[in-house]
Amino acid sequence: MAGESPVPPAAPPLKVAAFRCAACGAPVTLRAPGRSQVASCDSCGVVLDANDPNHRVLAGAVQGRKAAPDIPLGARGALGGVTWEAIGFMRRRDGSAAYGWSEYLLYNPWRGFRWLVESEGHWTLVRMSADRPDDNGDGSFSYRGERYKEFLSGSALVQYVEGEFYWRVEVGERVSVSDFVAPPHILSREISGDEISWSHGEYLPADVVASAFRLDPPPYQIGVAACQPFPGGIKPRALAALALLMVGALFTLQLYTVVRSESKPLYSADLTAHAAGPERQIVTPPFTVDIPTRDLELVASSPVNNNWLYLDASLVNESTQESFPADLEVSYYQGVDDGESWSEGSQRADRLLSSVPPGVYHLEIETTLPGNMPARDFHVEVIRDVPVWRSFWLLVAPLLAVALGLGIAGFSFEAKRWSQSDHPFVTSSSGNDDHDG
Amino acid sequence: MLHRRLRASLLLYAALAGMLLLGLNRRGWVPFAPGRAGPDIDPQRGFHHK
Repeated sequence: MAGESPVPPAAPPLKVAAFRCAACGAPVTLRAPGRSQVASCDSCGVVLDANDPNHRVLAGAVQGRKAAPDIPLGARGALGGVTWEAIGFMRRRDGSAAYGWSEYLLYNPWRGFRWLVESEGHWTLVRMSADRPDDNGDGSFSYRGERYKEFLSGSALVQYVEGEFYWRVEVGERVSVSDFVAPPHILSREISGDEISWSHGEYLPADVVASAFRLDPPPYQIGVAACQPFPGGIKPRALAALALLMVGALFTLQLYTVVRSESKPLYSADLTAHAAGPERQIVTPPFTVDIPTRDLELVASSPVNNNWLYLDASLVNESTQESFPADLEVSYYQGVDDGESWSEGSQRADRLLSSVPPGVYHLEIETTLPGNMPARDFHVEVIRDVPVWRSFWLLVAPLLAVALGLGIAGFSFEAKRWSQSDHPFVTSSSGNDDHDG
Repeated sequence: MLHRRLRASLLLYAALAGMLLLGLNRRGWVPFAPGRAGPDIDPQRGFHHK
């Protein structure tokens, strides 16, 4: 997006110069004398040759006063511990005139030039790149260990200039530009004739720029910028992947305990449920629950068909009389409706009992049957140390929620970013691009 | 940096969750399982109330 066309000249002179405008006679101040090639007159708006002894007029005041910089020229601000002075302002737009952006030329006699680019309220600090990025051959470039993906290509047209510049900038100057991003960094390539120049930028939070140059209020932000990092410096994909990795680790632990679980039957019997009379209440013979404390599963099954069987059961410790209540409903219905078969319920019901201490136990069961059924056979079984998944799901639920939340937030952020590019990966029409942001 | 804090929190949570999972499974603790009831015998019926 941003560009620094020619390479800025070296050797920083520490002086401020002034001369008279060749057109209107008003004083023109040069903040980077000896380095600036052109300067505009604040009074009449013409562009003057800064190095010509007579400061001849290079371009008339055809541009008028169309754009007002948010950072006034001459303002100084510290960015990254370096004090910069805004000496030039340029307004550019893309070839289709769909959008425009502002570029401020910053100057520090010891550090040289930087560009501060503002686009829809987002700021990027850009400097010329002496190194040429490596072409990966797939539309991306590598630069200082980072892979930059192609974001946007087009042309950039200078609409308005004010202040001084280190090359002969003109209104109407057009260059081909391509942007490549690796948030929070951006690489820009500008091609003008045979000349190719690269610049490298880093996203700056608006409050940093506003604080540095005392902007009140800073420009309103719209959308997600090409090289804007996720808020808070968070890398949502990396964190979501880490959360899923942790889910995998907990799953491995869970599998370990599942494999080690005994699933040992302690008691098994075929019994008969009665609808009425004292036979409704069944007390089983005692059985031993082994050391150490483990969970128990109570399982009942009955070949009910379009019917049900209800067991109000308790596991009772014979010495302490402590009981573990566990009601079980075996209910199974099936049929054919409109030619389609359906079924509901199961001929098996189970209930887990938590942390049953070792001891001698028996089952007390009170049976309930539908009115039209006097008796029904059923099978009951008590199994020790069966695999329990509920703790696992409870513990991984927050991790899954974090992974899902970060995944959605990250995807939404990247979708907004790439919607402004040549390669949106969420489009309203067909033709998706496989970008992973 | 918030990213580092979140990453550390995730790792800490996963470590604690792993230890808790092993401990709960070892004790046979089942979340939402019916709790144990005290001795509750109907003296006339000689049978537990439900």
